Amino acid sequence: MTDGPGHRPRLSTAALLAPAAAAVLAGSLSWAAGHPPAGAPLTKSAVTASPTPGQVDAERARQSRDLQRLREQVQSLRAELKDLKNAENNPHPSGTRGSNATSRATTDPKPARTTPPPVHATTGAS
Amino acid sequence: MASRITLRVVDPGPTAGDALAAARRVFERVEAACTRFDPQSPLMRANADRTAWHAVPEECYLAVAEAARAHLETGGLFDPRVLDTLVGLGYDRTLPFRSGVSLTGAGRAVAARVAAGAGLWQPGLDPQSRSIRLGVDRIDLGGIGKGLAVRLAARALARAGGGHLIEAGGDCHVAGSGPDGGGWRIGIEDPTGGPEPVAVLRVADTGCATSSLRVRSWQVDGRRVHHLIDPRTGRSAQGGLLSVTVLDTDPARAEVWSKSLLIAGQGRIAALAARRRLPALWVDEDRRVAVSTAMEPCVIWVAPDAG
Repeated sequence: MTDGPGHRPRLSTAALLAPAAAAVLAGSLSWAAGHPPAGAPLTKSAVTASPTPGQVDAERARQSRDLQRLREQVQSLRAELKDLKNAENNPHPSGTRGSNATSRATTDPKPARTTPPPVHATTGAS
Repeated sequence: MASRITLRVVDPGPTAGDALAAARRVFERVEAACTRFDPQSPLMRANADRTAWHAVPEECYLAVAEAARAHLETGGLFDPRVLDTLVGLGYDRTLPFRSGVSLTGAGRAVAARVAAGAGLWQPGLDPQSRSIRLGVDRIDLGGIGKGLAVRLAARALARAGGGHLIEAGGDCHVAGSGPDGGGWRIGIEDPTGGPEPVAVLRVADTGCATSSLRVRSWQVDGRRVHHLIDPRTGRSAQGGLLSVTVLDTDPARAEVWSKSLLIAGQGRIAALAARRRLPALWVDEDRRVAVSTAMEPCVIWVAPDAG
């Protein structure tokens, strides 16, 4: 029920060759993906992908929105960073609020910047 | 509702237009069903004959049912049976609060009507016929109606896009992580009238309500009163708080608790918010800001001079 003595080396060789072949194939595929084959119908795909003016406008608008979002995110992150720096420099900020023991324990969760971060909405008088 | 309403959809999908229109109609329907300034509204018809059953529109039924539930949950701090007190104080019509209102002769009939042994409020509710029977006292659904409208509008906008914001005079709902992906930043209005917020929250997928004395306050015979009536005294709440903000996934519940905590007053608010695990932020009469433990993670900024 065991393999003959001559069978094991052949298997080992095959076991070594298989990964090597797979690596060569993967390398070839990778190269092929990055290089268009000679004579490939480039013009056809270019025509198909060519966007209409409306699509260009829509894409531009989408990118513009993305850019605006990213700008806001950067602004928000900068504000947060400033808060963190303030917290490091001033672990007991002067703006501690709350006059009694109960509320003091739960007040002033964040150190104070002088100006509020930009808000999306305000909740107030109902 | 005498409030400016803002509806905003982030990354709108193809159905956003229809969803926004549906959300707008929600506010119109709730207003029509629950207003106390129209004697022909379903609410006021039920108020006019309180011992009879009235079949009412869904929005009115839901508002009364929600008010009854809130009355029990808050141990009576939330009590809609304040209409006669408000009318007695002269708030019997939409008042131009922003320009300052001073009334004379009003308030004489103001008594601790509600406080005087009114007991538990248990209106008749028949879900099959969507009928209500209000009982002894007339009720006001102003605040809870708005919270309910925000809840229903949020449902209408649930699949309108990548997220939304609804803001209706102190009652908000936000869905998604905001326009910049970092959460919705909500400013808490300064209840003393300052132009800058006293705090800023960062939240996602939640309702947010603020009860405040900033706007609906007026003078009666030289005495300052406001619209948040303490059912224990039958008078404007005088608990030392100017505003309370509460977060809850349900905007109607946020509205209920913001009002109830403000009425509970400075002496009780911290313990009550802690016991209920409510994310709450409050501003006292000295403009000091305090928050409950559950609110702390949401606060990203507090005014340095709020204290």
